Amino acid sequence: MKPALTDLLREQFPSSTIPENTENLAIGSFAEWDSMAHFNFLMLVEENYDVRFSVEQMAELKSLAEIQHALSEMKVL
Amino acid sequence: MTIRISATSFLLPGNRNWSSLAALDQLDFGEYGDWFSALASNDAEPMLCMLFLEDLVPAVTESMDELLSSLLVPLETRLEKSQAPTLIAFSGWRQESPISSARSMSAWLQLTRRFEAMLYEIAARHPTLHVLNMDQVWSRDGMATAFDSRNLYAARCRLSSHGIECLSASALAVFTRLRQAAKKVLVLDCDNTIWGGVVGEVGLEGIVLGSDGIGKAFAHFQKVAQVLAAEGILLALCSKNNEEEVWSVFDHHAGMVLKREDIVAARINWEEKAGNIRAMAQELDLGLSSFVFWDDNPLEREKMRTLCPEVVTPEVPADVGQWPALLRADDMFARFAITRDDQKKGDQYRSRAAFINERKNVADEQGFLKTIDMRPKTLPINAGSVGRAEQLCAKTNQFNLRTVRHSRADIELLAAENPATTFMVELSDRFGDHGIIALAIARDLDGVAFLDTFLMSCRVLGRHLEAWILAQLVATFKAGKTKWMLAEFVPSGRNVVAENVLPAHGFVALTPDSDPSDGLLSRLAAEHHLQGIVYFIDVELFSIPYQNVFNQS
Repeated sequence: MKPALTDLLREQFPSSTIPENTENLAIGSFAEWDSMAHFNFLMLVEENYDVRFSVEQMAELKSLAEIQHALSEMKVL
Repeated sequence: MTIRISATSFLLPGNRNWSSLAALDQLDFGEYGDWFSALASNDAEPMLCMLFLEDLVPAVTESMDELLSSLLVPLETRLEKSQAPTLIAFSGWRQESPISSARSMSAWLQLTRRFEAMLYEIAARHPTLHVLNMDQVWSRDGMATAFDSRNLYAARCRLSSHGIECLSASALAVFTRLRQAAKKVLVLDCDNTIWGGVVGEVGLEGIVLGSDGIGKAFAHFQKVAQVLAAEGILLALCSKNNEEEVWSVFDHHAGMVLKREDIVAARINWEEKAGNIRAMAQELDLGLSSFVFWDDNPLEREKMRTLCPEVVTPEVPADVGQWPALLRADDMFARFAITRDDQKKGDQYRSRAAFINERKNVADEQGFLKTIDMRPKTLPINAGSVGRAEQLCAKTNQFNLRTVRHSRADIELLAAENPATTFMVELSDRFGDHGIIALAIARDLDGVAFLDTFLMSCRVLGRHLEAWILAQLVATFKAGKTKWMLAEFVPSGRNVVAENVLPAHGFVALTPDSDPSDGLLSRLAAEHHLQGIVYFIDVELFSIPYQNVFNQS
């Protein structure tokens, strides 16, 4: 079982309060989630799902929904 | 504390692969690319600075040394200002065709070698500088797994997740060693750990050791342990076997690399290993946290972790083929430098082990001691030797009657007041030169001699040297017409071995009934708050056994 993206989000931001409604979460949803932290988060997703995002994807995947979509296209969900 | 981290390119602050180092301390990454100013300005905190030569040297030119020196100027500035540790991690790796270094070393390779040499030159002058050759670390799993061009172009970070993880772990290892001493003792199981098979079942001939295949791996593992021993790590055995069967393998199996004399302590029995390790810790006078326990059996490992959590019990892989490299490369025993003292320390414990083994095999103990040619000598306390006396007071836990931790000044004062009865003892015998290994201080209480300090290093136990030392004191008192001598044993929890020394050499426990001095001794004991077990002797009537085992010439 792969951890859910929201679990990884909690791992990346252990001291942040993550909003209850996770559906529309994206960069900027809370203060600590800036572009650098997002890059780290995408790397954490890569490690846990054993996938690799391209340079372009690292720039384009900005929300949980977009990441979810990319992972299902990579057939790891 | 905070560790200041900077680098010549981005290191992805907040990345989860930093978590090993982040568990040690707060990490402060500063601003991107600030390594030059960070080195020059930040002086109070420990620092990790990651230098990529690719970032520093855009093109190799003729005046390489000049360029490299100019890059190292801020480092020298920091080292002169700061007492805090500085860890310079560096990487000179870049992919090159093997052809370019086939006839002579490529200019780039020369540059990286030169840079490394310059760092170590600086380290030789500055004890706070530590150098991490990350190419060496990353090459274990391959450079391609440590670098990531995607991260470089998307985030100006040269490293992959794995590359960051290795950097974090290596820095953690160095910073940890700065705070904690390396482990001192490797405790090995026997069956399926230093050889394959169970000797009690398959016999000497049936064990797998030294032959091609996994037998070579066991032999190689023994070899690595032996090299550690030569570097001052003490080797011990703790196994559930019949003891004579294990020693028979040591004595008779052609594939054995380790010898009896490599082993400084052994508990081969059917008792719990946790209790056995505790007993060895007592015997060697070392804390449990100095011990590493290596056993193939997961159940024994789990029991050790539960019963002796202070002992480090690594999770060893089932594949014995990996053990030699794992043991050799482990951080647990690694030190910044291996000194001559380290190497001698192993010898001292080994000579003690050799002594114990030989003594075990003789029935006539005194006859045996006569053959080992013991030459004890007293040494006065003076400016040159008081440091050793202080160290003995501070470090001797087992054979120590009162465990009074005298300071250097105390010892100097006691020696000035009681010059004839304050001395150290050095000993040499067939098993080696043991150096200065004992301290005795007797002072005067209203005309009665009092044994203030009597301690001896545990590595010369079993030789009746304590009898010789007491005899030196008593001879002085006899010459000085002192009639009574008082002594005291104060239990410390660790000095059980000294508990019976006084009665064993003819001292009598002092009670109101046994006091032959019209209450003088009892009064002195009370006045001077002697709250341990107090003993006395009548100096004139006293004779001490075992004097004939020493070479007094």
